[in-house]
Amino acid sequence: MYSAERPAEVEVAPLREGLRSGFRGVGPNVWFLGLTSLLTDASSEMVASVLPVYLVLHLGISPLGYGVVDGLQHAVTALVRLAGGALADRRGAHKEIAFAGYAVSAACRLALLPAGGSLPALAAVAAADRMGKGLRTAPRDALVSLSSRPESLGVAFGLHRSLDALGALLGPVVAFALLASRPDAFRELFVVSFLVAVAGMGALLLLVRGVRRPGAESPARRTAYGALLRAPGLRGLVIAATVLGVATVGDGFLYLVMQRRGLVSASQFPLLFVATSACYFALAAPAGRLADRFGRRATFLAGHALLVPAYAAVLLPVEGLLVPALGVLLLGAYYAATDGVAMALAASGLAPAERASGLALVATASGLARFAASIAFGILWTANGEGTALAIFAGLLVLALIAARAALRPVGAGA
Amino acid sequence: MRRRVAAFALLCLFLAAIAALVLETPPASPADAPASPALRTVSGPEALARIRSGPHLAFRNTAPGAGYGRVGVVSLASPEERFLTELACDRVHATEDRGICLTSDRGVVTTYGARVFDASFAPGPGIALTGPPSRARVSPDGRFAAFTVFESGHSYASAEFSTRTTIVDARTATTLGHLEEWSVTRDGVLFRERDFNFWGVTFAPDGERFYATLATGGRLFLVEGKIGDRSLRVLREGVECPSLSPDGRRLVYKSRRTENGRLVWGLRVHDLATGADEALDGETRSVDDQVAWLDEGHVLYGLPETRMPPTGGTDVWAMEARPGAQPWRLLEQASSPAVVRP
Repeated sequence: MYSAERPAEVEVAPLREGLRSGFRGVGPNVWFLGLTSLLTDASSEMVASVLPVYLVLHLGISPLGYGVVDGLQHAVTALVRLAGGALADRRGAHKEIAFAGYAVSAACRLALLPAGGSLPALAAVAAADRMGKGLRTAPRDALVSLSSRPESLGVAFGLHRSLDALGALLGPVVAFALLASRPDAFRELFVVSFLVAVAGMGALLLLVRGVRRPGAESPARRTAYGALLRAPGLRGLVIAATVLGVATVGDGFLYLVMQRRGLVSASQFPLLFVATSACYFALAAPAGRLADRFGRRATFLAGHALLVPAYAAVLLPVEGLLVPALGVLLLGAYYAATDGVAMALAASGLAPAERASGLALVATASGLARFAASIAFGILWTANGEGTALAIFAGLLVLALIAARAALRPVGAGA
Repeated sequence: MRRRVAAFALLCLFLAAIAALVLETPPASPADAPASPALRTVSGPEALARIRSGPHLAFRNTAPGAGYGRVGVVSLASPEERFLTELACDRVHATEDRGICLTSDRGVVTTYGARVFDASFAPGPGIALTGPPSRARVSPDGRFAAFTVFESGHSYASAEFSTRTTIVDARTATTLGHLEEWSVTRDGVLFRERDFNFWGVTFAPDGERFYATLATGGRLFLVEGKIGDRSLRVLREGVECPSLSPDGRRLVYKSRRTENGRLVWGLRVHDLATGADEALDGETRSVDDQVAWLDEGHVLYGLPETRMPPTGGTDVWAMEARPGAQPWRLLEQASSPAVVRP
């Protein structure tokens, strides 16, 4: 049964008191899961931010060699994600599955050492890393939701995402600090990244409490994704996430357009992502709190609506930092208002025994939709230029917002 | 719960200790390591003059020690002794009178540059680059230089990339043009797509023409360019990273194939006059480098070194440019070779 989206007994309190009571609904588990994500994200961004330099300059791989396109990986990742969610639900083994996912990714850091300059090996490591990520995301998010009070789901996810973003911020900083003092110490960097990832696994293992296995209440059962989709509430969210995802041009492409238009230089390019992470870090928890108080559906939709001015901003014929600053702000706010809020929205309507599967479903739908969008945008951009492509996507987004709003409408009384 | 927090704190301390160990273990970076005993370095202006008076190789030295990353020269007659200059480059190519040096300055915002240098390896004018550089060449007459900059549009891990190949005046480092803006014809018809990427420039002996790779729509083409006209024309397909022989008659290039589901590159030699095209199958390993010609009959290329434990370095290998010829290792712990014959 899809529960009401706004809890009946929410108190209207002054904002400061409201913030405090909001945080109170967030269990310590959420903070520890946040710490885990912080450490593991720092570990992965440490490596990802130096990878182009490592491959092209250090190993001498040609540009085409670097462009290892792995479209197939998206389908595989989707399957892994769904399987991970189902496995976690079946035995209430959220912590264990998440741990396994983190372990795979941590091993990948170390695997970069023997991989050397071999492109197939590097592609395999990248694939394994992605699979580890797919495996752990839904069970981890399920744990976040199960460790918070229902009315605080928004701020709980916001807090978690905030810590996650902090890790993503710290990773490149540590990486470049290391390389600045020891040039070419890539192998040492990979080992340090591995150690940080192990610390993250330690946080999960030692500090995070697993969930009681629902086996005591109901027999372990296999997730039927079909049945999940039949529940009108979740189905509505999956549809909404899909149509909105298809109309989304991600930060990667938007910043690329900015670079092509000469608004940022190639060396400043990575800073855009750092700045977006910073905005995300700052806005995630407040956005989650907003969602708890004023409606998660509304926040989710409003967050996506922010993309329309973001697309428009990129096309502004203005020089200087205004456009990049606007882009960073709008995108950071978009992520803050949609990423965790979507999970909170989904979690509020799922029984504990279906939490991980349901979240995996929403994340998979959104992920696949965005992948399709990025291919479509790439084609449109190549064929018709960025102005047309962005205008088309802005129009699509408006349509998607209308459709999503309809899909998310609460099912009638008695649902 | 407190026990668990204590256990976590202990774990972090333990990991930090390992990290400290890893970062302190010599060689913390190749530049800090003691020089490998197998390589001999010579120093002093007489040694440099002696090496440069005859046919020699300029390269990037990747032997651990104080000279890591510096440009070195060896005499082809006795390649076991290397002279290391003060110039540090990530990629280097040189002729008798001058050369080009590509550099990267690591930081939170990494900056890249290209600098020309003169016969005494003194750095001259330079330009800032917009991304990590990946290929560099100086024309045989020393008038022009070309390099490819890798402009990636990546969100930390995506696979999108594009290249920008620039031709510069090799004396003043002034930009003469970017290949991506030049006109391209194919079978006499203007050929234009949005996703053109050029790399792997190799200059012809006449000092006006060059060859390069054009990638578009997932296909690779050999193009011939004319500097004066700012134009290029497509010659044939399936050629990547060409390198022209000193007499301008043959090209050695990389050719892609799939082996057991993996992407590997083999070297092939193409005769421009006869159109003959053969595989240099004596080299069975995957070669991802633009070859340099040692002389009319032999090519040089870099390969990851196969020493154990692997240190991620490269060696320079030589091979006769005919099918079946066996390669041999010419220079250890070196990359980016450039042959100079005064």
